[in-house]
Amino acid sequence: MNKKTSVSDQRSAIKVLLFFLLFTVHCSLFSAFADTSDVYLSITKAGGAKIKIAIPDFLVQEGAIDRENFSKKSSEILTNDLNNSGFFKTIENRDILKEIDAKDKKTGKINFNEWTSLGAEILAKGHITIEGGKINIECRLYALKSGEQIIGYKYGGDRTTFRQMIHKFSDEITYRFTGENGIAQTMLTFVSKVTGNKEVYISDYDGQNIRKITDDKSISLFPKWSPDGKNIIYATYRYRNPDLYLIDVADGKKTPVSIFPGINAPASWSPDGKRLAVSLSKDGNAEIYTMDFDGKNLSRLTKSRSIETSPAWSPNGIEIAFTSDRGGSPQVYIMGSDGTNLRRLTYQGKYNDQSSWSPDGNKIAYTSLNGGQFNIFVIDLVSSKVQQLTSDTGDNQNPVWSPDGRRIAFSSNRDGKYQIYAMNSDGTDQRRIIYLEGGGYSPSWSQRIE
Amino acid sequence: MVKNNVKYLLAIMFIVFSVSVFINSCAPKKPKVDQTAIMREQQRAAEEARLKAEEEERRKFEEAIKIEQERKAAEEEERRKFEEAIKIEQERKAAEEEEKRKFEEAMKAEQKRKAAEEARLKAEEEGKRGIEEEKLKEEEEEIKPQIAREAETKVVPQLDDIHFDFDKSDIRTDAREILQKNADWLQNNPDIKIQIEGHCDERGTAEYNLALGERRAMSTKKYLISLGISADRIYTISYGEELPIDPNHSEDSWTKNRRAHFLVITK
Repeated sequence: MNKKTSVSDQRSAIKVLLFFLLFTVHCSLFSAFADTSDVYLSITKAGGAKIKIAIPDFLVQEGAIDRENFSKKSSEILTNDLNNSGFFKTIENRDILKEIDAKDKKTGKINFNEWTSLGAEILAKGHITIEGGKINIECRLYALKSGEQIIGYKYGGDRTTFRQMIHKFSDEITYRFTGENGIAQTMLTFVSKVTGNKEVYISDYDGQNIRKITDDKSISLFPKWSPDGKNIIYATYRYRNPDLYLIDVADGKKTPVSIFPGINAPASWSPDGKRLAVSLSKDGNAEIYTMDFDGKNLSRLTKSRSIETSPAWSPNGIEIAFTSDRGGSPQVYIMGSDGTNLRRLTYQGKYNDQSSWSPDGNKIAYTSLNGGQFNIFVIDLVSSKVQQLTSDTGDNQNPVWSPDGRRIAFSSNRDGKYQIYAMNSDGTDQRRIIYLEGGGYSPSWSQRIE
Repeated sequence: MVKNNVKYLLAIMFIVFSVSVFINSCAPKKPKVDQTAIMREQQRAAEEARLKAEEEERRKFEEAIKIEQERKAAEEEERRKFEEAIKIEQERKAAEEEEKRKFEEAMKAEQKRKAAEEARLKAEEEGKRGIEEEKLKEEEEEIKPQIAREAETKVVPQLDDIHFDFDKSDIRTDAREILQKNADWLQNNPDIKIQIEGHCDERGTAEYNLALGERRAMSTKKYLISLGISADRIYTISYGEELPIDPNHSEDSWTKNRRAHFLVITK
């Protein structure tokens, strides 16, 4: 997203004059926006009470194409982001928001008392200007009690980055009031059969902005974001074997990573993004290996006659969780990333797989078959306490944590086909976030992508 | 009377003798130089000196002995102290050893307890596993997967699928017959290469089923090799749960989907 720099064609003197006028206005705006990165915590409450925020529809410049839509969409996205963050509560009565906003416009000032009367503590306003294909958004935050502008932001982009601009504003608000990094700029990748074949898709964290990034016309499985959010590793049958490929999300370029005979999946990134843990069957049956991105520097970590699969590298890089049926049924084990210090983690349930470390490394979410259905469980690595997060809602699989550790995305067939859902990490607030005719499987949650 | 006379005579003689002795003793004595006395004197002095030297030597000798004894005593003391230190060290080590032993014993007990627990759970989870494991060990040699990336395949009626139990990859008795038939046909058509696909039902995770399908394909391949088919003629691929032959969600369709599927490689 580039800061706006518009060059109008300078055919007439009036246009030149206008340009200069605009330019000076922009300059004065920029100087008005304080460039502090301080966390503004004075409104943050103790005890997890949510901060109340009023978000009227963004103002869009007169005569802009699709004006109404931009105006509504922007406040909608921001409202949704801030509610998702878990820290904020937005004022829901849109009619009153509209009314006070109109009054502000008429009087040319912020009517702090009116806004405060809604119970809001913060007011977020946006002003959108559209020039050619360029979209600029100026965002301002006001502390209502003290009646002051806290900060202003200016974002520039186009239609394709419109949502990201609002997500960015949301994360700024979250950071400013909580000191925590929001997840509005994170993304999901998953598998769907929209075309009839399983292909890899990506979307914003809220399930919007869905794009297909593979066209293998084969079977694509287990996509996983790289720690830097630039690449996705996935398995494909395109070349008549379940091979592991790296895909550059920006340009769609694909590179083979592991193409040994037999299975080359699933894989897990090391937290530094330099190595992969992969399940390979090249030596006769599925074992866990680590390797570089050219399939070289192979290191075999397990050696048994049983199945070893679903490696999951711990956030500190020291350990790898994986699934093995060496004890007679699939269970989750943990070993050092060099294969030493092997220990069994799960004892409950006859079928446990798909482990996923919480970002702080203290918990592992996994899928467990109980009563003929798959459900998502979380085990605390310190206390070994097990908590069941889903129940009585069809099959629930493939848990993955949001980078802030507050949400868990997963796939569930509770409404028929498998689709992508998300819930709080304690199992509350379970919501479908993506619905596709082709279903949704095997989600992976990215780090923040800017 | 004679006796009295004798007495008198004796008394007189005694008096005369005494007087003569007295006079004699009163006479001035003349100094007399006696050579032998001087020599004796010298001899005595020499003797005395010798004795003194001897005495001195003995003293010195005794002193040396004393010093030596003292040195030895000190040495002895030192050795004693050293031995004592060693003894203390040994005792400390022994105590440590004992402690370690006790700790190890405790650990062993803990491990044993854990192992027992594990064994109990394992036994609970699946009793038959051990037998299967044994069977696998008998055919120890590792057979690696082979792929035919550029191949085209087709189904032929002479090669039938075989089926598996849930979460199993061992060849069932009903599958043995089919595999014998398939092997016979392959023996009669020695130029034909085949592809074995391992498949699973939908009950299970995609991750684990991918590996399970691989295991099914491999155990089928191994069985065909044991019937005399060359490993070079058999390519394997696992499709996990991705390609069910019956997309329904019933026991009947699951049974159909847990299969090893045979294809002939045409080019």
